[in-house]
Amino acid sequence: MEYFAAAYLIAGFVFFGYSFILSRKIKDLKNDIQELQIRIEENSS
Amino acid sequence: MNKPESFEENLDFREQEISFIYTHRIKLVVAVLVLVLAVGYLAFNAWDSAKVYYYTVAEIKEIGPTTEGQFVRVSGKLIEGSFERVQNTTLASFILTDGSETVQAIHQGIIPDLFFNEHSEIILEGRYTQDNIFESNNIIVKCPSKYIASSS
Amino acid sequence: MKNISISEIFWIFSFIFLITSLGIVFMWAPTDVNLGVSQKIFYLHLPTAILGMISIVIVAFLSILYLLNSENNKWDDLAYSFAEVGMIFLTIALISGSLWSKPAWGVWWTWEPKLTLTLALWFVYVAYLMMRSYMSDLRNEAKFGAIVALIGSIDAPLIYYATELWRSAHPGAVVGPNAEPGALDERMFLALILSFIAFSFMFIFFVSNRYFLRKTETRMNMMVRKLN
Repeated sequence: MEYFAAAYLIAGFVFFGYSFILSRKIKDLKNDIQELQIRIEENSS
Repeated sequence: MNKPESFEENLDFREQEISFIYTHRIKLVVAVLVLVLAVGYLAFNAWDSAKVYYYTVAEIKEIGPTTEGQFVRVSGKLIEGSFERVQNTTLASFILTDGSETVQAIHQGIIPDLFFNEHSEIILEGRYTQDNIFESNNIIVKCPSKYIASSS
Repeated sequence: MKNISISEIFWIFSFIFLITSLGIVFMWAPTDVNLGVSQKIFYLHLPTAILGMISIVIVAFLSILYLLNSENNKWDDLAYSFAEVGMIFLTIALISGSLWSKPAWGVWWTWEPKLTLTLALWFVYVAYLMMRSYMSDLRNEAKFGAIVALIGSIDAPLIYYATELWRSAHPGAVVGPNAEPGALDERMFLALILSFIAFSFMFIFFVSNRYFLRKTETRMNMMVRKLN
């Protein structure tokens, strides 16, 4: 195994993994906010 | 509509999480503190050997033989033509120099590729024996501090 | 036309620069005469290490801004985001460094000053993030974090000047104020600048996304606490 290939591959995986975690967290948060809005609207009506 | 319920569950979960952290706060802070102290102790020990990472050949000769269990590093350049390998073994012997002084060294094991590069500086990890021979356990090749394009 | 957000612009820029710099690094930049192809790790190792080091200084700076005006959570949220992304970049610098030191020096790891100090900085990031996730009061959390970041930020210049201050296995600095002139081939220098720009855009992209998330998380937590 060439060391430079391993280094670039691992770096790619780490960056990809981190952006995946971030995007999933942002999606969850958006869902939470949406549900909160629905709840507030229901309560106020 | 089941969306509001699922949010309520989430809310409960958050509340539980917060109360968990409240009740176990002291334990958690102690755990973090212990971890930080342990790492600090390890780092301090490592730093002790890191700050004088290696001796020059002249310095190791002045210090003299190492005591039992003590490991030191010595740095120098390989004298061309001094490298010899005991036949059919991985035992090698060679001489390092810092420009003026020289030291005889032996190494058991694999020799890295860049060892024989004339620009490389070599750092040996091991013991300096009573017979004034450096018994190396580990070879670290210090690269030349310039990056140069190969002509091809 | 669809609206393009700032974070999308950073993403597009980092993508374009990353592709270009990879092309430059592997197709155009010359191979090192001593280290051969393993020297290509340099274009990944150095930018990520520099960004990981700069990041702790930014965290410390933002923490001071927060301490001066603790009514405003903005600085603290930004500091947290820089710390998390900085740790990701420093982790890659350590891994790529280990994968380079094996073929270049002959060992995966050695306790030489620059490596020891970089590992210490990595633990500073770990301590910062762990401390913050274990404490429940936002103000206390931010204050303790600020102390850790301020102490940790001393480490960054020490890492840079390590080869000057102590005996080290690392080669001397090739960029910045401590660099020796002519230490780097001109084409290698251009490739390095390009990859540095690419990683910087990526860094800003991650920080801006993390900041958006952190800001909203902080607000949500405050709201939940008020509701209770």
